[in-house]
Amino acid sequence: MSEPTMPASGERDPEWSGRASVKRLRSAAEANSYQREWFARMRGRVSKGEPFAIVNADVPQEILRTMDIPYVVNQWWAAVCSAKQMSPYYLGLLNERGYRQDLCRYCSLSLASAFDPHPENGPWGGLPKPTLVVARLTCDAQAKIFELWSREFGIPFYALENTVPLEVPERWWEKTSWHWEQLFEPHRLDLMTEELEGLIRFLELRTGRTFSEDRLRRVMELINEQEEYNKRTRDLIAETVPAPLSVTDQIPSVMIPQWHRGTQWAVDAARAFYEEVCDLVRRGVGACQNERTRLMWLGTGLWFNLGFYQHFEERYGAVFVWSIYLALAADAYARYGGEPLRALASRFVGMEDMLHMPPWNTEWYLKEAKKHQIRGVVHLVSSSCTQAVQGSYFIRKTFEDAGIPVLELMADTVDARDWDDARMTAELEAFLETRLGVKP
Amino acid sequence: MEELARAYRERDRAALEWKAQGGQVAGCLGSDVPEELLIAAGLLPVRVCGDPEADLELADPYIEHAFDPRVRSLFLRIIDRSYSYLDHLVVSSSSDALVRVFYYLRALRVADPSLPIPDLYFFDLLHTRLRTSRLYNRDRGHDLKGVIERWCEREIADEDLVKAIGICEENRVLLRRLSDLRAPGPPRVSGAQALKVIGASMFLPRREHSRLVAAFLQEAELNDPLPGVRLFVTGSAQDYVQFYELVESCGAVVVGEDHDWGARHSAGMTLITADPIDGIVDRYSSRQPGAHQSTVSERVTALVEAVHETDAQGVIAFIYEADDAPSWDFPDQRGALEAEGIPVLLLDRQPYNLDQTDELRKRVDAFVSSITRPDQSDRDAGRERASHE
Repeated sequence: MSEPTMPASGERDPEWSGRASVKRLRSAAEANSYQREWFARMRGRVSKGEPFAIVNADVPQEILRTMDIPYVVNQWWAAVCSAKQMSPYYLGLLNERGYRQDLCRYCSLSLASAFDPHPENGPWGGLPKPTLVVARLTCDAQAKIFELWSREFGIPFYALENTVPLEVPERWWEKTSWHWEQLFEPHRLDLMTEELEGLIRFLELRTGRTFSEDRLRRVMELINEQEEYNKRTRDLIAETVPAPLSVTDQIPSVMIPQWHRGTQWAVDAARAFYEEVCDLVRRGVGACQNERTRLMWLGTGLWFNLGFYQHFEERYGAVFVWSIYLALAADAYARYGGEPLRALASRFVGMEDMLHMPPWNTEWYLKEAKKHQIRGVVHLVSSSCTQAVQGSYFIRKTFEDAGIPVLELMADTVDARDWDDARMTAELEAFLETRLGVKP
Repeated sequence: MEELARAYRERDRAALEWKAQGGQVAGCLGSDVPEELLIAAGLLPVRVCGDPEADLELADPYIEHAFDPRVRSLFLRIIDRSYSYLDHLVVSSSSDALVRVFYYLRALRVADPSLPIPDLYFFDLLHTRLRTSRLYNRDRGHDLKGVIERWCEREIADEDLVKAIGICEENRVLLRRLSDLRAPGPPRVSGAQALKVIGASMFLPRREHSRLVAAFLQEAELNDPLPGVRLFVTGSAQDYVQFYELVESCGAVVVGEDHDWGARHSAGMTLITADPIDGIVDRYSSRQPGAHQSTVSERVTALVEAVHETDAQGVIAFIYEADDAPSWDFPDQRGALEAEGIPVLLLDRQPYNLDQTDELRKRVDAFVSSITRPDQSDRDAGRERASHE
């Protein structure tokens, strides 16, 4: 693959490059390997004329899984491009088209990759041309970005609405699996179920694929099985000192199967991940044998610099044991009872609330922090995305009232151009030393 | 005009007088709160706005810089006692930022009860033009009606709704007549005057506003045409006139705009439907698309159409820092306009407070100077050629 050229407008130090994390788990390596193989197979299928969808992360992908329509998730592809250090190049292409540099980058990086005159130079040979795109209107930019995508390729765009709850439930995580009908207001579930029926019809007509209720039921069962393993893994990591692994190993082991949820492979991968963690615990192996403090990473991953986390393990014995990815899989995905389509609607209808909206997110974060014996929180605050800011005041207040200090790092989750590695490292080191009293 | 300008300037005055007479006042956050429902119940709806002169650093602890400064400012005013007179605050889904403001305010009422945040309600209007969304909106309209009935401890009859629709429609018809005095003919009202007249309707009782506007229009129709380059403004909402005044001091006249504090405020008609709620909510969801709740294509089409309708010679896109939605629209808007020979000026990443205007003035001045208005006869000939083609 030829190296992309950096855009002239890039502001970062040209000598600096994000660090990949060192993968220590077999399950992470196997998931990465599967991912590449799956991608190659998907490209092969699409080259033979099969449909291919690009969907946003908060779209109920289970519909496409049920209909055997291959898809790539927008934010997942953005994370891959960013980890491959391609975000400066791709975002530069977006900027060359007149879009300002500090627009929402996590959700537009994959679109930007579509502007590459040599898409085959993208990660793993690049994304094939999609047949259709699907998004939920969870922020103002989604309709813009996905419509631009649809116009770029002359393909249809299906938009799902987003609704807002009037009621604030207590301890939502205790109700998601079995009491979801009580957790979400009925009119929200009604609308989303109806919109999913519309999506199914749209996909049937556009792709010729058929939908089977029985198949959806099976997909939902497989996901429940997968998420039960994730729950056990999460619990094990939370209670074990030193933590058997940090977020750098958790993220690929949980997220790659999450993108493939609803398949037997994903269940097997989640089980393998759990068994590997059990083995680490049994053998007393920690991510950092000299664990001195446990940290929580709030926000999306620092995709272009996943090695960032490991520096603090090595220098301070400070281990990032928690990120949203495994915890959300553990607490928010399983659904039992009811009609499968409505249960699926309930998996997504409140996802935005759980992740980004106080007090849904803050109460859950605090519960998780206590469970994981967290001593400090590092909160990645986006400077340019309202969807990702998630109520910094409430996060600070919730944790600091509970005696847990919070550090806010202002950065973009995929855009390496704005990242000042030395400054961010210094900020976090100062936080560890002055707020948590941890010395190198 | 003086009374309208005063209402625009002293934005709380009418509400405080209403309160003094024993009435209830409901603040409306966003442009999609159906004021007909509030008026039908005898409440005074007033639009919540920011204050460009406020120190936005005071908002820093509560709301991030990812929100545009106008939203940060109105958030600050809600928590700094500027709106302590409101009996209720209805937030609408006019933008993602406002949705999040609702969550923040609701959580803040619990986290810090000492803050004077009014009783809150969220009106969840969907904007996709689909049957499912319209049915959802109808139900939300009925829910809001029920909530207002509890606030007022009385039932709102269909006749009350029809009467309120009439009051609002009369007001919008007058405001559309105001638009007719700006374009496409020679403008007899400046953009800054128009913003004041339109904005005053967000603070005054609507009947009183209609009476004042009717009188204003009678006089304005006799005004001499205003000289200057005819410009259209798109981008972020302008809830104060500073930018328009700056543009018009550079030898231009703002003949139209597509933001919520301008001509869009009166766009779209409320039909009297079998269930009056249908007509009310449909008007809010189906009128000219707002920047934050539409696709790029919808915005491009609407802008090009509006520029033609107003016969504007140029377009200025004025966008606040961090106001992402209009920034996504802009490249395609520029492409479509320039393809038709309409020049465009982008003023991006703008602050809310325009107290340092030297650089801005230079750019606007240069843009206005660069536009040469062809003779009317040339334009007519051009149109004729286009119609033959």
